[in-house]
Amino acid sequence: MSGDAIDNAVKRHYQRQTLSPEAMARMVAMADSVSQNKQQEQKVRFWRRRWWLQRNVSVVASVVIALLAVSWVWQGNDRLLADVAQEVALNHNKHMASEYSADDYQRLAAMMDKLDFDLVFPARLRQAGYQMVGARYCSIQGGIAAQIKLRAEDGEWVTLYQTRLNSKLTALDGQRFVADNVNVQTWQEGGVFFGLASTVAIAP
Amino acid sequence: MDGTSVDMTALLQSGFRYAMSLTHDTHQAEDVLQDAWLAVMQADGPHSRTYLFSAIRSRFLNSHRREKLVLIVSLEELDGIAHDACNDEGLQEINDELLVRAIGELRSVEREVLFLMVVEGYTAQEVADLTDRPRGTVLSLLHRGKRKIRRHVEQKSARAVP
Repeated sequence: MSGDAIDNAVKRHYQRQTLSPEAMARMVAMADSVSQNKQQEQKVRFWRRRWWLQRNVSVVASVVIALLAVSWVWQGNDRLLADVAQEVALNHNKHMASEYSADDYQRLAAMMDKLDFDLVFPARLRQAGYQMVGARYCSIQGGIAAQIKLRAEDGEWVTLYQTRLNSKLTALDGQRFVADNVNVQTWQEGGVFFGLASTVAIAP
Repeated sequence: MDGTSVDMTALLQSGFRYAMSLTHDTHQAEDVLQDAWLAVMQADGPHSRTYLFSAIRSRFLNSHRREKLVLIVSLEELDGIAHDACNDEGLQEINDELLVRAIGELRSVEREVLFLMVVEGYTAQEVADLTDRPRGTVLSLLHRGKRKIRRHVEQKSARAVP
């Protein structure tokens, strides 16, 4: 018996061995099923990644917008305080003569009838012993304001500014600023905005 | 052999024949092939013959670990290899039934080498790489397998002749 005869016989034998149609169908179906599962998994992974990306982009965008807004408001407030303080300091340094002489608020309020708010003597100055000398009209940030000259017990002059409180000025409650060698304090009381300017550190 | 993709049906048929060479049993071959096929699909492995054969072999060895570890070759068998290689004359046609029995008497390692080299056309080195055996052992297994088949067929044929 030759080697070729064995080889041919072995080849014939194995070539006759075929996977049954049922088993073939089962394994092809298995391949399809695995392939479909993989496609499904890929879809799920894709949407999950997309959702994660969208969520993160939204979060980052929200944080950036919030930071920008805070920064803008913060910078805006700083700018407003500087502007108001410069305005107050400028008026204070002009030492303009008073248009109305009065030594109490009631009389002064009766005289300055063009104001669109009620003159109020601020509570924080009541105990400080200031004496009213006189007042004049002025403007702060485009709004009509009263510029009241007060004399302290030690003889130093200070200027008190009052104007109607608005949404912008609300942000300057309890602030301090130095402009042109003038200390400026700002606060609000009873719907009125106050600015106190002094060249010496006598403000309470 | 090659790593290129082939038709799925042809690939499964090749895998089945290889599994048959290892198990010599249709049901076992289908089981081993199915396990290996599922693993290849799930691993998204290449649809290549070599990859599928490796998966089949690995699963077969897992269930026949002892056979893999114990490869006993008798001195008598080794002596016969050189002689048989030069003595390939005789019957030109082999009875199918006898052949099936003869192949069934081979060990799985011998059937595997015979199948890979004779049917699939692998070289001895390729079989050595696939089965993780020395090339010399592969050649030895091939010769031994053929010799066993020849002996079996010759003995049975001699008995059949009055």
